[in-house]
Amino acid sequence: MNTHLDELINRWREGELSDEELRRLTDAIATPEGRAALRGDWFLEAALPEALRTSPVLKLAQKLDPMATSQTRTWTNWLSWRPLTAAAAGIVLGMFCTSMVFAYVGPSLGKVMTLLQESFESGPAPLVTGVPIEAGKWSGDYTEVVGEQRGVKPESGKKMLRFLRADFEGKPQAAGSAAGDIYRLVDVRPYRKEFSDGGAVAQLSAVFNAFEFPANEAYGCSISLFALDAETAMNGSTRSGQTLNTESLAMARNSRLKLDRDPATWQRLNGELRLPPNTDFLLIHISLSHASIAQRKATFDGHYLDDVRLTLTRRAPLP
Amino acid sequence: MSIESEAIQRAAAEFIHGRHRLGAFVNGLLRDAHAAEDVLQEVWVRLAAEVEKGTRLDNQSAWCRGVARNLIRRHWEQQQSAKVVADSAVLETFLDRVELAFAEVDDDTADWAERQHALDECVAALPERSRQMLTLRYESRASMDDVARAMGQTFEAVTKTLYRVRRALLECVERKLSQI
Repeated sequence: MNTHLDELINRWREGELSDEELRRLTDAIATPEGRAALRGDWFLEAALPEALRTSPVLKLAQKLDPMATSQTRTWTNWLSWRPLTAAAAGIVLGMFCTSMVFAYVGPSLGKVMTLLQESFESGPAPLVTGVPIEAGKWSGDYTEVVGEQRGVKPESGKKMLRFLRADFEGKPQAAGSAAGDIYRLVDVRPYRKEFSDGGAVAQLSAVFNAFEFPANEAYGCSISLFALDAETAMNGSTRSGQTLNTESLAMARNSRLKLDRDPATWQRLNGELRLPPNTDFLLIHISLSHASIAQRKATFDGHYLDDVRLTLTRRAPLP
Repeated sequence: MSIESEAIQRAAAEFIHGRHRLGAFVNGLLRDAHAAEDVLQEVWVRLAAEVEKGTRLDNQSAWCRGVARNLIRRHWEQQQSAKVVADSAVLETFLDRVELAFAEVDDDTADWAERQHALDECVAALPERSRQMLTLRYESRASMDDVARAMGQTFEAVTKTLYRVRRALLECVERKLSQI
């Protein structure tokens, strides 16, 4: 490969290309050879994460259990040879779908659709206006998107969300707040045919971490999912916490009482909710709180959230 | 099966078949795997809506690239920090040529699965240290500074090594594909 072209492609990939260099790269890919070089590089960029995950996993799986390898390959073959089956199920398949490999061979044998995968790498900063009544935006108490901080490195990508305060702009009765909350409303109406028979569950997962806080302090975190009809989701009534508990079509909550004090370890919470057929929206609620009455205050010194995922999976109800 | 659902199934099958190539196009332009995933899914949603309306697409791959290109442009506009600062004429020419680069392989017989398989083998054959470095950079998405720190090397040494390993992998993949 032409070294000069190789370097220009490299600089594009790293986001360091100047205007003049972009002109030169554009000139270089006027030729079939230049375009082939660019294509090859971008193939590698897109395919490397999968190759890195797959190769060692397959090797290890083969050592431990030959069947594990054949199961993973079964998925690959299924994907290659049965696309119409996938299409009929209305599945949108991800590019970088290692998680799907395991989902497909996992116990549920379900089909997984990613509704949200958030590691706070891009997009607008979360709003500080409490529970959102508009889909597609994070909103809640004061938070900020940050990079590595206080010994905590993002679990995924280069950024993570930091909880700052247990209240939001104009919060009524803010005094005494001790839980930092962040929410996101997800419109699931486009996927209704996937759960209209009551045969699907939404799965939520997120990871939490904290700086090395004093040993006499304790912090708890939780994730919740609320299934809502459109009227309840958007009429503003959910801004009263009580409405969520009484007016939701269904809800699920999973709590971890205490975060550890090791900045090197992220702690994952998982939760799942079977979707009622009349669900229009899912409300994600993620919370971090001071775990003891003695330490209650409205601020957090170094507590973080990352890698939030929401998926929809077909799974038959228990008999 | 209705004509409409047959059309959707055909479109979905073609989309699934070409999703990795379209993914490389989108990811290559955006350089952000999560944003690329969002764009890819949005392209499918729009494709399905178009097919449901009864639109016949002569070249679905090209149509998807066109939609993806518009979505990427909008993403760049929203993310003003994106390092795409050139004047729009140059950028449009660049995008035209990138689209052409992928259109040229629409009929390529060596499909993504073969390339991915070849890459799997090439990665598995790498020295452990090179694979560790790649894993830090591409799977854990660590910064170059962090990779250098973790590997006990200088930033410059890691940059050079990654550059060499990538080139070696590209050559390895092409060699394997030529032997098929």
